[in-house]
This record gives sequence, structure tokens and C-alpha cells, in this order.
Amino acid sequence: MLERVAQGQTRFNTPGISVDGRGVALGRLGALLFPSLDGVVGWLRLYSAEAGLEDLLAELAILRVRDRLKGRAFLVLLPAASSYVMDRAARCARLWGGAAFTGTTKHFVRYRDDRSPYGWDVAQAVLGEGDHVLHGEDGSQGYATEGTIDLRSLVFRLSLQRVPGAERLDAEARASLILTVPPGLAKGIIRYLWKNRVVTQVANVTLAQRSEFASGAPDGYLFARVTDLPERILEGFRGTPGLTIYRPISDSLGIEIGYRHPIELSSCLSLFEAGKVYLFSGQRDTVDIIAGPVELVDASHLTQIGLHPEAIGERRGAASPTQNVDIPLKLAPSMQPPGRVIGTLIDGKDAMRLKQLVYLLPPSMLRGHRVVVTERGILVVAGQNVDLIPLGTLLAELTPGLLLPLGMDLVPRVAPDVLASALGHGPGRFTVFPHEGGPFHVAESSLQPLERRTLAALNAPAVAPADLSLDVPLGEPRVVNDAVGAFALWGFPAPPKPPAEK
Amino acid sequence: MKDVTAFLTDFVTPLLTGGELRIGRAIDAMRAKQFADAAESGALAGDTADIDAARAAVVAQIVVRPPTLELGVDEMRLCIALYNALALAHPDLEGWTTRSGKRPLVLEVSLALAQLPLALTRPALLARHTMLARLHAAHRQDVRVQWWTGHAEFKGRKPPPRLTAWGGLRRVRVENETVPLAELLGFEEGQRLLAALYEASPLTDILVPERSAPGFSWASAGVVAILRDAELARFVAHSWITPERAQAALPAAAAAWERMLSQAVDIPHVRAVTAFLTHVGVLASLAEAPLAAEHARDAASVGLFWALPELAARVAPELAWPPGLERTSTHAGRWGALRMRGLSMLGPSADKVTAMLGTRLNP
Repeated sequence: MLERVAQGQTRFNTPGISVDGRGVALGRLGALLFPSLDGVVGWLRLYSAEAGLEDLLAELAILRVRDRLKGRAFLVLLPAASSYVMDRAARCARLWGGAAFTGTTKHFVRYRDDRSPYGWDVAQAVLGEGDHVLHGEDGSQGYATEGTIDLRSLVFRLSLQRVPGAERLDAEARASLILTVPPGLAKGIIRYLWKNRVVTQVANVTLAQRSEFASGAPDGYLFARVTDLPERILEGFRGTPGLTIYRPISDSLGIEIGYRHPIELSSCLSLFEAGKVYLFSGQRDTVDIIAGPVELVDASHLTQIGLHPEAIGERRGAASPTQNVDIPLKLAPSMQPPGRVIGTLIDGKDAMRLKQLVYLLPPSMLRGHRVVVTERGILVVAGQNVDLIPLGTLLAELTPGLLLPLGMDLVPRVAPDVLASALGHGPGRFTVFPHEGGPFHVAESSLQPLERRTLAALNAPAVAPADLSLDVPLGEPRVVNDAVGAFALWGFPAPPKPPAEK
Repeated sequence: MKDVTAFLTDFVTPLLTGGELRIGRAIDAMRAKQFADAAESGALAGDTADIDAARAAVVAQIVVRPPTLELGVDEMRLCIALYNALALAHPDLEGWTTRSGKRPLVLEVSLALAQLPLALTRPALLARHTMLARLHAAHRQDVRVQWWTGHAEFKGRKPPPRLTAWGGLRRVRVENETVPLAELLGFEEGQRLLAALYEASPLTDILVPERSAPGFSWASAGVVAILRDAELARFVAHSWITPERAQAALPAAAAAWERMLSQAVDIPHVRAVTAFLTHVGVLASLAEAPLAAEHARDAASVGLFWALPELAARVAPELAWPPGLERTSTHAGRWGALRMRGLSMLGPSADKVTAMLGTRLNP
């Protein structure tokens, strides 16, 4: 029989029980009793999602026990560092149908609940049988230990759970991913990632040991750590047989994307050996343990690239704002939906029309538009749509600053980043691919706001590559009085009278 | 002013390009005639390169195809009239020995100079405006120096270095004050001359409706000439609706419109001004932050500016909707909301203004 612990009570019948700072009856250990292993796993899952298991791991024990009637149960012993820890553990246990007790060695009394906020104590001492005696409201029950379950092996034995939709990763989740690539695909994958400017570090690994559940898993593969993997590439990789993508939990731990481990592994990292890499695969239902340390190298050193120094030299020489960039690319009609129009390239002979338009439209509509006059035409760029200027070739943005005619695409198709890198394109520059005459680029700093002042000097139909803005003096007239003396108006003559009309 | 070349260098050029406007003795009628004759004869062609360039820069921002401008008689007369107005504001004329009885003579000569034929053509409007385009920016820098035993004031002059020397020991304090043109010519003769200058150059007049004095009036005949020239009218509208000026210019234009209703102007004149203000209203409604009464000095005039098309719609609906604006467009919706807001701000006085407009248009 149990009785409620009163406020301020310090003496207990249950051995090993004392009060903590809040006056709650608490032993050195907590004991959670579950009828089945599911309850234990569920409790681990709940507790690890709320708080770290690291603090409990040192003394956490999962016991397989039998009562006097040979009924099986599972007892989780954990260090009761404080009543706060026990409160959380007890709450999680009750959700999974378990019961919470507290004690120090053998005798455990029911932990506090809503009915008795300061805990419970036995009404009279009971000897009990077995290794652990749990004192509940309806009686005391002794349990004999049959064996223990290692938490680490439990973690490895649990199958990953499929999470619908979790394979779609946002940019933050794609910032760092781990790939395992079968040896046959390794070269192609490395080349593909390099072409798409994905920062990749790779290592050839062999499995330290086969997973207990592995069936025909490869003994080795290419281990790749990729940074900022674009979504389209991720989509492609997900459908590639043999290629597995993992979401890193820590430096040494990864879980296949689209799956989750029943237990929050980030809360119990000390279970995993340092220097090894653990990859949990949901599709194969295996755990790959890679013997470490894994020495990663930059994948760009492994690519076979035919870059010619002469071409680089030519590019470097193309520093003039309107000089052609010699890259063998050509425009072709695009099947893609049209992109955002942010500029237009107006032929020199339409310059007067542009000027008339600028003088016609109110300044509020031209706000944000900038212009530069080059020998290849007049480039008008705006932060938003420039469809209010119905002149010239509308330009859509392929990548920031890289402008193509609307409805056109570049062939061969190259990733925008690679193309920008090959062209020497970067921030502060606009590179334009007109229909004729090859690409050219202009510095963003040479663009001026599109307003009357910018085009005021434009007069002739032929446009010279020059600054067309007028140097309008901006000084203010300031009155300065010269000395005129004290007799300034002396002698001021009267105006001549108009001849009198007859 | 010794001769016409010095006049061009020391006054006309800085009036256009900025700098020091050297003001000395007033120019009498005979010398003014000499200056004007020199301008007419083309003898000054070699001395007006800077002036021509500055005028070309001003006019190039107004029209797409700017006309060629040369310094002529009218422009010279306007400059002399302005010079004389500033000469009358000369601080040396405040003494009793200057024979203030001569001031009316100076005023008479200057008014005669500023009295020009009506500017009704685009070249004439542009030519006169380019001379006075920076008129509203002119100012005078006054310096007041205080030291331990006295003080002195220098209007448009620099104090001598001896007065500011040993500033710490003599406890010198220097105060600078910028006197704007309207205040500089705030005396009666100055105001009359300034009004004459604005009358002679209607484009200058209409571009600064928010000035304090002399007040802007729509009744000038030159105003209609500007409104009938689409390119000039567009420039006026665009310069009014810039975010920096809209808060002051638009309510002032609306207030002047209300004043016009009680002036003797003909019906086409009223119709042109009303239609123009309706057009400006549409353009102003496109702004990111349309004019609101909270930020304006004259809240009633803000209401009048937005409500003006609503008032016009009751009397002459054809003036209340600019051609080309679709009634179902989002722009029209936004403008309509602002019109309604303006009408609510006007309150009962809306009916009074509508009646005045009706009387003007349907006498």
C-alpha cells in the first residue's frame, strides 16, 4: 500500500528515497516499466525528440525482467539527476503505457503524479522477491532480471521509417549531402558534378564490417560529400539505381533522405565510435560502417579537362567593354517557358524613338531603368519588367547579369555558373548575347539612370559610342554685392519720354 | 556695370551656370539700349559660348528636338531688368545719401525692359525660360559677425579678414544666413519686377507654381500657349510630379485654379487648365506614394487637386477624363479612389467651387 508524501516530509519507509530541492520524493535512479519492447523504443523516440539522451547514456540500462508469475516485461533504469529529468521521463513513459518508479537499489516506489505531487511512499516496509521490487498503488511486485539489451545494438537493429515527402529538400537541407556511388558510376558522377559547379569532395571507401542485415551490399563505393547540390540534380540522382543520398546528422553519421530513424540520433551521438562513418540506409535497410578516418579530396582534381591556356589568354584580353568574348556558343530557339525580361537591346537607328519615349513617359514609370550606349546598340536594363519599352530585342536573364534574347537559349547547354565562369562573367557586369555579332559585356557601373538628362544630347540618328548625357551646370546663382558707394543713384537719368502723340 | 562684356561675364553667365552674380549700380535706360543693340547686332557672338551651351543644356531636357538659341534683345532686356531688381536690393542703397527719390526711375526703366510681347510660340517660350531657368535657385549669402565690442552685417559680401582674425581672443562669432530670391526681392519694387519677369517668361512662371511671392496665376495668356504645346505641357507635368516637388507644386496649382475661377479669363482658357490638371492628376496617381494631406502644407488644396476632376465631371464631363485611360483599368481605379478621397476632404466647399466652375464655363 502506498501513501502520499506530505509537503516537508523527510523520513520515508522506502529505502533509498529522499527529497530533492522541490520537496519531491526521489531516489538515485528512475525505473520505467514497459510491458513490451515497443514501449521502450517508443519512450526512447519520444524522449530523444525532446531532450538529449547523452546525459542518461552512462547509466541507462534496458533490462528484460520476469515477475513472479513469469510474465515478461522491460525495465529501463536511468539516472534520476533531478525531478525535472524524471518528470519528462515519466510523462513520456505514460504516453507509451509504461509506469514510472524511483528508487536507489532494489526498491522502487511509484514516482509522483497528479494525485500526489510530492510522490509516494510505502505505508510499511515490504521485503519483496527478485532483483527489483516495484511498489505500486495496487501492491508490490518483484522482478527478476533475465538479461540486458544493449542500447547501441538496439539503435542499429531498428529499421528506418519512410517519411513521405521528406526526400524533397530545401536549399538549407541541400547545403551538405553525402552520396555513395557504385564504382561503375563514379567517374561519370564526378564529371557531372564538376560540370555543374557542385563543390564535391570524394574518397574511395571500404566497409569496415557488413551490416548485420546486409544482403549483397557492395564492399566498397565512392563516398562523396557535396555542397549546395541543385534541386534538379538531386531529382536526377534520386532515380539513379545504386546511388544513395544521405543527409548528414553529424560528421560521422548520415541517414538516407526520405527516411528517419525511430530514435533521434543526434541526441545520442556518443553511441557511435569516433573515427568511423555510419550510413543508415532505409531502402536497403542496412547500416554501413565505414572504417575511418575518411580522407576526402576535391573532386575537381580527378576530372579530365581539356582546357587550353590560349583560350584563357584570349578571354583575359577581352577586357574592353564592347569586345567580343570568343566562346563557341550559339543561340537557338528555346522550348523552355520564357524567363523574366529585364532588359532590351535597342539598335542605334532607333535611338531617337527611345528618346521620344523617355520624354513621353512620366518619370515614375521610368524609375529603376538604366541605360548604356555602346557601339552595339543601346542597352536598357531594369530591375523589373521593361515591357513598357517596345523597342529593340527583349532580353531575359539566364543567370544574374547574363542576358539572352527572349525565347532563345544557348547551345550547347551549359550550367549557368559554368558559362559565367567561362565568360569571365561576374558581379558588376552585364553580358549580352545578341542575335548577331557575338556576345559582349558592359560594366554595370557604366549604366546610368534612364531619364531626360541621360539622353538630352542625343540628336543625330547615328549613335556614337559616347556618353550622351549633357553636362548641365548644377551650381546655384549667388548674389554678390559690389561696393557702389553712398551716392549710388546720383545722376540716374530719367528714361526718355516717348514722342507725344499728335 | 562697365560694359556689356562685363555684364555677360559677371551676371548673365553665372545666372545660367551658377556662381557669383556681381551686382553694382543700376543700369540706366541708355546703357540698357546699348546692351540690347549689341545683342541684336550679333556683336556678342564671340562672348556667349558658355551662355549658349548652358541654354542648350536646359532646353535639351525640355524638348526632344531643341531649337538653336542665340542671345537676343528680349533675353538681354530680361537680364537687365533682373539685374536692376537686384541692384535695388543692394544694401548700399539703404543709406540716406543715395537719393531714394531715384528708385522709382530705376523701377520704371526696369519694368519697361521686362515688358515684352507675349511669348506664344515655342522658340520664344524656350528662349526666355532658358535665361531665367535658375532664377528660383538664386540667393544671397549674408554674414553677421559679432566680436567682443561690436557687430557688423555683410549682405552679399565677405567680411574683411581683420574682423574675423583672432577669433578666440576677440570672441568672434560668425553667422551665415541664406536669403532666397523671393525674400531678397521682398520689397515692393522687387515684387513688381519679379512679377513682370514671370509674366514675360510664362514657362518659368508655370514651372514654379509653389513659390510664395509673387503668387502663381493661371490667368496668364502664355500659360495656354504652353498647355497647347504637348511637349512643353508634358515637361511641366513631369517636373511637377517628381517626388521632391509634388507635395508643394500640385496643391499650389490647384489653389491657383480655384483663384482663376474668379478672374476674368475666357472659357477655352478655363477648359484647357482644367483638362491639364485632370491629366496631371492621373500621372500623380501613378506615383508610389501619391500626394496625401498629411504631408502637405495646404491640406485643403490637396483635396482640391484630387477632387478637381470630380468637380469638373459635374459641369463638363469631357474635361474630367483624359483620353486613352480605360475606365476599367487598375490605374483608373486607383485614381478614382484618390478623387473620392479628395472630394471627402473638400466637404461642403465642393459645391461652392462646382458652382463657380459652372458659372465660368456656362455663363
